[in-house]
Amino acid sequence: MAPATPIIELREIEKRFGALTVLREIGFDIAQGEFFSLLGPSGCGKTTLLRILAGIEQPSSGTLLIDGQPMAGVPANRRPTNMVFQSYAIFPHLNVEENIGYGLRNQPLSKAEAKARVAEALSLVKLDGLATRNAHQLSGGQRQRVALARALVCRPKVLLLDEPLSALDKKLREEMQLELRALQRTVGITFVFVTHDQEEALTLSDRIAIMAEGRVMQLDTPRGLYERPANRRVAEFVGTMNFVPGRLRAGRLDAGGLGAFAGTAVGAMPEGAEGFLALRPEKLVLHPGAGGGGTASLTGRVTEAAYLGDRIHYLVAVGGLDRPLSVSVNNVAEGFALGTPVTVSWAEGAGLILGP
Amino acid sequence: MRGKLDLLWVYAGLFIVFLYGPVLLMPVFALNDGTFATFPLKGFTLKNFSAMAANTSMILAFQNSLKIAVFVAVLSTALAIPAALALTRFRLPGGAAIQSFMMLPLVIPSIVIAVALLVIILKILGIGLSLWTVAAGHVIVCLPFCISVLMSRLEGFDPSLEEASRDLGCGAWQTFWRLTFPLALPGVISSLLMGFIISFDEFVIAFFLTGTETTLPVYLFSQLRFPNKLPGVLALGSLILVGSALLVIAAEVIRKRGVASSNPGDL
Repeated sequence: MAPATPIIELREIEKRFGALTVLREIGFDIAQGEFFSLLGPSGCGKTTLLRILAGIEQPSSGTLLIDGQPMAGVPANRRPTNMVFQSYAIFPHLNVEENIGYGLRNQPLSKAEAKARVAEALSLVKLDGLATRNAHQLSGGQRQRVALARALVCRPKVLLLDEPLSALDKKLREEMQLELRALQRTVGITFVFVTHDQEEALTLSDRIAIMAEGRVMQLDTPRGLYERPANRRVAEFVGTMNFVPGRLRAGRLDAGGLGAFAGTAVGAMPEGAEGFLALRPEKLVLHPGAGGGGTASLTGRVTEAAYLGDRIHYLVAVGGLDRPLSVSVNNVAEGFALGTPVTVSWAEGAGLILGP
Repeated sequence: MRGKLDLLWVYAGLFIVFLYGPVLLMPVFALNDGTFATFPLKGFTLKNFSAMAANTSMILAFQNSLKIAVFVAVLSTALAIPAALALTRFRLPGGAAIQSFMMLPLVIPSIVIAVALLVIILKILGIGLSLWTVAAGHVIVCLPFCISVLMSRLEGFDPSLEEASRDLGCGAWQTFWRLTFPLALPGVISSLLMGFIISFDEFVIAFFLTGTETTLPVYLFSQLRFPNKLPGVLALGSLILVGSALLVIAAEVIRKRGVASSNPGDL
């Protein structure tokens, strides 16, 4: 999955603010034309990394190349990147047209060419007819579109987006996600997208880097992250996951009194290491009665049922586990009443054995 | 309830009369046809205004004050803008200390500044006293006001505005002229007005540092010994009162029309 022609190359990037290290050992490539997301909880360093790409912050050490050019000492105004800020940063003293044309004055364009580019950008983000609207008369969604047009009109090689959808309401956000993805395909520019919303990252991205505490925990496609999370923290962050704690013994996860479970081991773990059997709710099957045993089932009691129409979510309390198992089943079979003893089973390969 | 409200109105009325009564008496006496500024009023006249216009030394002092005030307003604001930018935009080591140091002239009595400057100018620098030395003294006392007015304006900005400007290809200088300055404009105008007003009616420093030429407050003080000059002084005072009222109204209108901001920090 190595990107063919990298537009961005990061090597050993570190960033320290005083005694605090906010980024460490950041090293990966982003391919030309890719929709790349940096996903992580707040404070994980994703915005700082984006600002290093933009040239607003400088890395404490390490190398950054954009389009093959080293970026050390190149200020933000000379980089082939443009950014959509989280607050949108719409210039309050200028109207829509002037906002979008702001960056064009620094490009060798005639007035007519610049005007044509602004008009083109306005229609690209579906704001035709609002050219002379004042900044403070715009709605949140419109401000977002102006910020997008203002950055795209400069024809950057990389567009940087800092949580651009977080200020919008849910419906508008979902609409804008689809539009953003379509827009990226239209313009063919590399997008680097920062978000803390895993669903958003999964929907939009070609590849995602999951960040925590200043490091990249895993870099993969959305499918790869969901189906082969590198460790428990990544698995917790992407989707819902059940965990059975134990120790690795002879290729199985030994969970003491609960039994020893088979599973697909992700990454190399030493014998006897602490680990978890990770089970996605939709890979689990419920059977009535407390029978079973074996290497791919657990027994418990239904404590909660949520009817979602197409699916039913159950919580199954298992003796010896801190948290009940979350089980999601198709709404085809007959339901289970609260308190019913059940057996939860799964296909042997469906369980993953992960480190912490 | 009713009685309580009435008392409050009486209090407010007294308060306003106490504050503005003496000031409003000035135009009344200026238009009064009498040598002395006393009641009862004798009749309506404009002769005080023509006497004022004929009083060349007073007009000269007035012009001096105007010139100094304009010069001081522009220079203090020009010096305060980079200081305010530095204090609001960068995490300077010892920034708080630098800021309180710059605000010091606010709490030092102007008599102390005046005497200190007099010693420095005459004994150390060996420069003659003139309107320039008065202006220099005024810049010192105006700077803290200009800096705080500008800082409160600049602090209200979203810092990503300037980052966005840089990101869109503008250098530091271009960002200042295309973004920061237009956004700070209401603050710049307040700072100019502040500098102008403080310099225009400053007495102590002007009294110590002026040479042969004099500013209006110093001139007026010297004329208090001659009662027959008083009506002319009142006429000029009335004109200044009208002028400054217009200025303040204009400033308020500009501020209201300024970029919508929750933190305008004006006069």
